[in-house]
Amino acid sequence: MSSSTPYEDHDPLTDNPFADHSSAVTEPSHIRPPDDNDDDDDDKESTLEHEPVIQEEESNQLAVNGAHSDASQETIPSTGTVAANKNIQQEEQTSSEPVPTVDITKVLPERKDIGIYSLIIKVTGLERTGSISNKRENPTIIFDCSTNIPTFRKRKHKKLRKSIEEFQNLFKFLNNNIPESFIPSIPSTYTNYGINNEEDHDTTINNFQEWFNRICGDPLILRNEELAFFIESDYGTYIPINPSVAPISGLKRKTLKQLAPPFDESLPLAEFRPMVKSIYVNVQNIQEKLLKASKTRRLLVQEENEFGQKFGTLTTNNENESKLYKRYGKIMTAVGDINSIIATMDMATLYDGLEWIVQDSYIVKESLTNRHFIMRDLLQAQQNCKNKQEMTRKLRSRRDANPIKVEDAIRSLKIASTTEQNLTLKLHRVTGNMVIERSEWVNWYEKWLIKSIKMHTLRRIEYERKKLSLLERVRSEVRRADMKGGLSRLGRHTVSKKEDEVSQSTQGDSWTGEVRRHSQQEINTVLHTEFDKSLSIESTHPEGTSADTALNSENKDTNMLDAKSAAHMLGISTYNGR
Amino acid sequence: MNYDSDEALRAPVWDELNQDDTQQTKTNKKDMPETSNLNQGFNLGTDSNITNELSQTFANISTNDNTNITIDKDYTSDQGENEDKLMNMLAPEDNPLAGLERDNDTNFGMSTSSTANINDPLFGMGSGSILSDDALKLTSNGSPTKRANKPHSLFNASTRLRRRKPNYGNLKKTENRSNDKNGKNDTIPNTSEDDPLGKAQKENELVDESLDYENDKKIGTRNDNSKSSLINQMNEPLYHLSPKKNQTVTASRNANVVNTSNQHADSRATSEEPDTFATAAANIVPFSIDVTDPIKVGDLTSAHVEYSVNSASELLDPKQAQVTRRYTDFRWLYRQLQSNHWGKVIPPPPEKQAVGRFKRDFIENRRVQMETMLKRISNDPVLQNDKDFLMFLTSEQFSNDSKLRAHITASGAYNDNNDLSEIHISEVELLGADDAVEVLRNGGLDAEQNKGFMSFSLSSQPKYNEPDQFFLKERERFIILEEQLKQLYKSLEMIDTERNELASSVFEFSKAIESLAKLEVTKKSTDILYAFAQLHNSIRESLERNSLQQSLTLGITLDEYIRTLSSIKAILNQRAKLGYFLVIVENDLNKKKSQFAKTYPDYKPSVQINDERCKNMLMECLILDKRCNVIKEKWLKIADDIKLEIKRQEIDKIEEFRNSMEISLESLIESQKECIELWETFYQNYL
Repeated sequence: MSSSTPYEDHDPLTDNPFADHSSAVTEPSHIRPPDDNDDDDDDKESTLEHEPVIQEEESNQLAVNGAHSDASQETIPSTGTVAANKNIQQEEQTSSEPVPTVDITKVLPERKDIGIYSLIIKVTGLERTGSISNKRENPTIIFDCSTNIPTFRKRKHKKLRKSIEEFQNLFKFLNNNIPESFIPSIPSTYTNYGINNEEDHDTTINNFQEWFNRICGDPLILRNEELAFFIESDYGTYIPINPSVAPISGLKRKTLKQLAPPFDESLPLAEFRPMVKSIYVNVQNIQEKLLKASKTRRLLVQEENEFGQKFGTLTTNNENESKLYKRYGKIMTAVGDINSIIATMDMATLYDGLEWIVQDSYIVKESLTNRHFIMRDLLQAQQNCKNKQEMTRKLRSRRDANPIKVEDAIRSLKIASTTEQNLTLKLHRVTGNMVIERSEWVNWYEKWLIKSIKMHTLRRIEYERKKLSLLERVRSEVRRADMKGGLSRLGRHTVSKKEDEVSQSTQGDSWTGEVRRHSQQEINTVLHTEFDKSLSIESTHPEGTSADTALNSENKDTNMLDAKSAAHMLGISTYNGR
Repeated sequence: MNYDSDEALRAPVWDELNQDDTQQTKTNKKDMPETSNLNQGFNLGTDSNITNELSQTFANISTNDNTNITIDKDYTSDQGENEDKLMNMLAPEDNPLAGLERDNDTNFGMSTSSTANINDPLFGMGSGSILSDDALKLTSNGSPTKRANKPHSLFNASTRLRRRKPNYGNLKKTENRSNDKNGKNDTIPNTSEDDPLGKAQKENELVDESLDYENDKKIGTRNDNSKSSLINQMNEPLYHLSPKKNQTVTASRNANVVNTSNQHADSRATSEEPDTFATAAANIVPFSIDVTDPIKVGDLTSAHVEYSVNSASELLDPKQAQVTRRYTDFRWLYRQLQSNHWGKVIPPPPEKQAVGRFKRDFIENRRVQMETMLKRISNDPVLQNDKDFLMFLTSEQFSNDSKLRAHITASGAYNDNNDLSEIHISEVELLGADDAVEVLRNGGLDAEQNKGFMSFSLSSQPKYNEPDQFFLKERERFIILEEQLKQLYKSLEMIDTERNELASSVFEFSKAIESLAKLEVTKKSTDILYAFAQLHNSIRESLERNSLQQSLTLGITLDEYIRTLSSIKAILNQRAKLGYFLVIVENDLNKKKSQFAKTYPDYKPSVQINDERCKNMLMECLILDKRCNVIKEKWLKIADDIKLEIKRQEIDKIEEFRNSMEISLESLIESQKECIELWETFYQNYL
């Protein structure tokens, strides 16, 4: 990004003999002070063209004011949002182009006083109505919001309802118009739990809450008036008010992407894009493999179910024998069913979690690409500027210059140089913001990935335990089929005649040395599976007794609550997805 | 086994039968058995309906057999009464109740009165019933007369048991079981006691301790030395053994109980009973056999695999032996044993296979199956003493020896049918060496049938209709069972395949996780991802191990049993074939008789015969008759044997199944625990 003229001293007007000198020239046209309530980032884009002209004039006036932007802000009457914009922006320009790491707040004034503006959104509900596809893909999010951002007309809003379409409109707008930020992608509107499911309901709500949290954590987004428009618009009617800048897309984008990226000064960002791309590719790969494993598991379930069914219908002469076979068969079938639940859970937890990472990494990747485009534009602008300078210099050295030509040359030079300035500033903003957001995004990625894995693990453990309890339930029956079972095969008499030797109890698991205390509630969820009904049709006592003992031990446990166990129980994760 | 049918219960009352026997003994022992049979045969011979005749001949046989056998056996005296008493003294196991039951007709009446529905037919004379004979022959390897007494005590005990409703075991479930058991006793009175062979073998198994208490109680409460209680007490051990696995009071157990109770005068008699069982059980000489070292021998055209069979046992001539055998030899052994022991289920060899004989897995599989076969043969008290088996284990010139044996016994042991259930009835075995030579010279028993011009004979083929419903039902049952088991096996195989698929999918998944981890986005996420990948790797291994386990336990058991079903079908086929031969020979006999009657209508047995031709014809008739009897006898015997065997097989099968179910269940549980442990550890360490 080398320019022929150093920015610090750049005076687009130095070559213009008619122009006044001003020290503060590097005026990022689209910077607003943090306490300017009314203005949108978008306004900057739209007024970009006006900037160079007005800028020059006003910079002179403000040259004396120095760094105090606030003071000058008040003194200069704003004739309109546009004018006010300009004035305020000039304040910020007092800072010379910062060494990016030092004075980021100058480049990104929004990030200064980051806590001043806040938007608190709480998602309270989710509605699915209409046609099937509408139910799946276009539900309605119900949320409350309270804020102190000036762009909002009201401070508090309750029971706002917005459809996903509107969310998507907002997202598209923000994505295009805030190139500095990584806009979080809209999470999936349905999960693999199935849309009529309570778990799906809760998960989707949580996902959208998370999305809102991320939005509200980004000061650049907060200040965008479209956000306010979005929130305050009526249900189903939101379309971005301000015009949206379309990014480079389609074939042009693709061809530009093929070219080598321009030299990137910012090392973290330079490394970031390849990493994000790898994340994108790898996570998609993981999803694919997970899907395949899930499908295979479902096939296995089918076979297991068939096996259980066939086993249960073996003909025998002996009533007890056939009872045993039936029970064994039922247990096998139930185990198969649990496996199918596990397959669903796998998908719903890990797959859906990874899905958001995929979407988001895609957005990040594209934003970074856009940054590359800006860099390319800057290079071109610099080149352009150089050319114009050359031109004017040539004209200057000529004696007989056509005054019109000279004026043209000068004008074009001015335009070129301001463009270059703006682009430079823009790039600095983008780079600065992205560096900050990069670490935020990486943190989010880690957090979200770990959360998904955790959900997955918890569910898995729950259902594997259920499987174990099912198997153990039939174990005692098989053993007691005759006295040759169990330990008697080793020559020892059966150690315990208890029917419900459960290996998972509140004292912990019987097979491991590690103490893993489970709360009675967890034990109950594990011991009493969804299949109890179908299994208990055949059996007589075991279910009853185990239920009784479970209840008894529960009473005992709750009675024996003391400080230590209470504290421990509080520490135990009882989270199972809710 | 359908014991609900009335046939089973139509057993003639023992004493009536006995009196018949004794009368017969007295009257017939002077005549030549054959002529007397012949007379009777003649009297009935005019009947054209074969089946009718069959049933009648069977009715005659019931008495005739008794006469023949009582005549043949040395230790039976002429007098029926003494004979019985002596038998009681010498071989009480077969007739422990003889002395007592005789006095207890009234008791019988009383005790069985409550079970009107079952025992009523008991006192009806179902004379023509085949099953009467079967019931008679049901009980042991002894003589029919001894057996005659059994069925009644069977019914008796069942009623006693039903009334008692013992509570087996200490488990709440046992109520159901005992109810079932009692209910079952109602329906299977026949099966509950018999099978002393099976009992003997099960002596050490199927023990339910709690039952002791019950038995003690039972025995204690019957301190009255009334003979009925004694009968019942002695009956009990015999009847508790049922195919039900959880009716686990074994004969031995009760026998031991009976042994220890010295309250009764005949304890000596009763104690001898378990002793014989004990000795029968102890007769299983321990064998240690293994099949190892498959080696491919031979050139391209005659390439085959030879296995070395190492065995060690007391019964072998050199106590240890090591020989090499090939698959054909094992098959020979199977056919030979089948031929030597009709009605016995021989542990099956692996299937024949022409293609793919040299793959390692196939060879290993075969080796295991053949080893199992030899082990099971050697654990069977009857089979382990078989000459051919011992020769198989020890002979150095096996090919010569085996061919010789096959020839001598005409067993068709070589070039046998691939279907294990298709059997070949050896004429030598059936008729004895001399007659067999004669028969074979004529082309076999069914030569006449097969001689028809262009293989269709002038007279209609005699068809053998199995008179005993038991066999028909059993055959059906086995067919259904085989189908089910085959499907189950297939299902198990599918599960195995799918599980392995899942394992490989999980492996790919873990690889994908690893590649994400390599990006090293953040330290924490990287660590977690690596651990996650590792976790799934371990899960995959455990999955694979699990599926291997399952296939090794349940899979092998199912496979073994499916092949054993072929053996079972084989013995049913043996009976059918024997019956078929019987029909043929009877046909021939009838033809001959009618021919004789036509040619010499005025023949009188007492008149001396001078005509050469008449004599010859008579001779032929006699031969045929004798042949017919021999076949009939074998045919009847095989019925009992089969029933015993099937019962024994049931118990075996239940045991095997239960064992492998338990093992596979345990392994499932263990791998489940392992899985949970892996997940929990991951959770604990990283989340």
